Amino acid sequence: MAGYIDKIDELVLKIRDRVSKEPMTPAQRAVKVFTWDTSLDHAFGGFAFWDPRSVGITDISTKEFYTDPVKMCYCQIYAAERFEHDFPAVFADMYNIDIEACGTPLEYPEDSIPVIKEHPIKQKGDLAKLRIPDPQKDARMPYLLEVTNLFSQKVGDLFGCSVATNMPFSGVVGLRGYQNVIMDMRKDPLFVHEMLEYMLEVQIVFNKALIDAGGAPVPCDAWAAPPNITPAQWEEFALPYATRLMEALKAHNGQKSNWFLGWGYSIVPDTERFLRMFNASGSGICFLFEEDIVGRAGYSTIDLEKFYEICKQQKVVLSTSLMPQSIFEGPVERIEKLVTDWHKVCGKGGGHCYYTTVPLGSPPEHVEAYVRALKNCRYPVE
Amino acid sequence: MSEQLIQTLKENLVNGNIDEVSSNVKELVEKGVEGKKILDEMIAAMDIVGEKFSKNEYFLPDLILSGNAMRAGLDVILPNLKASGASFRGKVILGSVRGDVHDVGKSIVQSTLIGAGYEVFDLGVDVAPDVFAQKAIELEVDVVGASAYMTTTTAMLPKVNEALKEAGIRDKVKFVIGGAATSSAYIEWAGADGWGETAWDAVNTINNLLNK
Repeated sequence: MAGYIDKIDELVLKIRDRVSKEPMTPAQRAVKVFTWDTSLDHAFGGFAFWDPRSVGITDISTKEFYTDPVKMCYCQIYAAERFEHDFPAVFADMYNIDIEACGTPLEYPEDSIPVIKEHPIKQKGDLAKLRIPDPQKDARMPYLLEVTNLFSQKVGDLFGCSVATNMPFSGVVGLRGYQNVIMDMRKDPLFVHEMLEYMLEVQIVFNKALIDAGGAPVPCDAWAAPPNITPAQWEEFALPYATRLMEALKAHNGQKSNWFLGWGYSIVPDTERFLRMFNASGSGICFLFEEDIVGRAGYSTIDLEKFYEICKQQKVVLSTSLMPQSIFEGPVERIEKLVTDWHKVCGKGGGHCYYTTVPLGSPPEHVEAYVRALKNCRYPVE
Repeated sequence: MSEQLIQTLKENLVNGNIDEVSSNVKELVEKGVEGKKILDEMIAAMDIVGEKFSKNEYFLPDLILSGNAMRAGLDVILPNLKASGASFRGKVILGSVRGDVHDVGKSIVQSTLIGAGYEVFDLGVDVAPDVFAQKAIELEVDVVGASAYMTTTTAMLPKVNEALKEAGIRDKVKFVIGGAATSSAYIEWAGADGWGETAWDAVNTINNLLNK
């Protein structure tokens, strides 16, 4: 394993050399974004990926990526050195790790993300059989703690150490299965609340351990994003539990967590009300995806300028996020245009950043175009 | 009397009342209403569901409940339809690719295709590429549909195409792809013949490929 630690150290030296020639580190850029300070050099942004091959790593299997903490850490740092983006972080299979420790059996294919074999809550009585896992011992919770610890030690001062985790609603979907949860919400909503209370307790314990290991949790909740559930279901089953998780974590480290909800703002009946409720939840950031901005993949469109103004009023950072398909498809000019257009609208008052995912098969020049466009988006915005 | 019951059936379908739909269809069959007539009315109700979804009045849970209600109704009338010699527009197999356990979009496509007159076989989730090929041969299908919800599992789409080639049936079947992680740009990459962005789009794609 010393081999990959040595490789990490070599990459870190290169990154430190590059960053030392820039006006500020990515971590300093991030602080400016989150304090609504526009005196930063260029737009802040980065990307996640779910397979090492997505960023050109061929000597580490997907299975190793999700099971070996040193190799996972290496991959994230490799991508930061190769593509020079601002936001490498600990992006593992966040929807699996806590529920696996709760007793969900997973399968680990060599060339894909771990897969849920079956949902442990098949009937109501199964919930009572589940216990609160120990983050230091159970399943891959220690793996994520180790990645967090290592990443934080190696590059935490340069990039911070964001760690993708799970939110209660998405956790319950993993424990029970999406279609079953949909049926439960109609036929037995109290049971859904019981599962959510359990998941909340699991996640408070786990996220606190990650914070203690040097991480800043980004609890993800794609299952709670419309159209996966209705706005009314979101208000009843997702929002209150997400809020409580973020409150508990803030009480632990004094900082806001960043709730990754992501989609659906353009298709809810009252976008402004939905956004204001989201922003009041205590999240430090609001992720808004290209689907909702330009109306792709069955979504409508939002008024980006108005959306940004609401985020600014509520002091919640807006992350405009390219669809993975855009990184896959290109062309370079479109990627650059999206980044530049959003900077013109949202860059004026600060509190704006970028995010995307690099899917398998994406040409590296598309990723390079994305990062280049970020660096070409300068402050102040003309 | 039957017309009133048909109206109730349609309302129950639109509202996703699964047990009620099953019971309504049974009652209509008992009253001697033709399976084809019931199916047409159910398709009309599902069109309303689709329209509500496209207008953002409905969300996925609404589609799932109505889709499940549609399947419950179909379970009652399919034997009746087959016995009456009703012909299908074509045979389709659907599956979520290896490593992908997402079932929702595929289920909606399944219901929509059945509603559009296709005979559909659901291979389920986490389906290996060679299983797509084996089942396509065994069931003598016209179309193989593979779904990938996650960016990580799109890698399996070209492998399905390879499996169809290796089985020697690639020129005999149409291969279509879909799922949240895909776009039209994936057609060529995956070696597919078509792509559906939504369930209704999938039906149109298959209709066009089969010249139906």
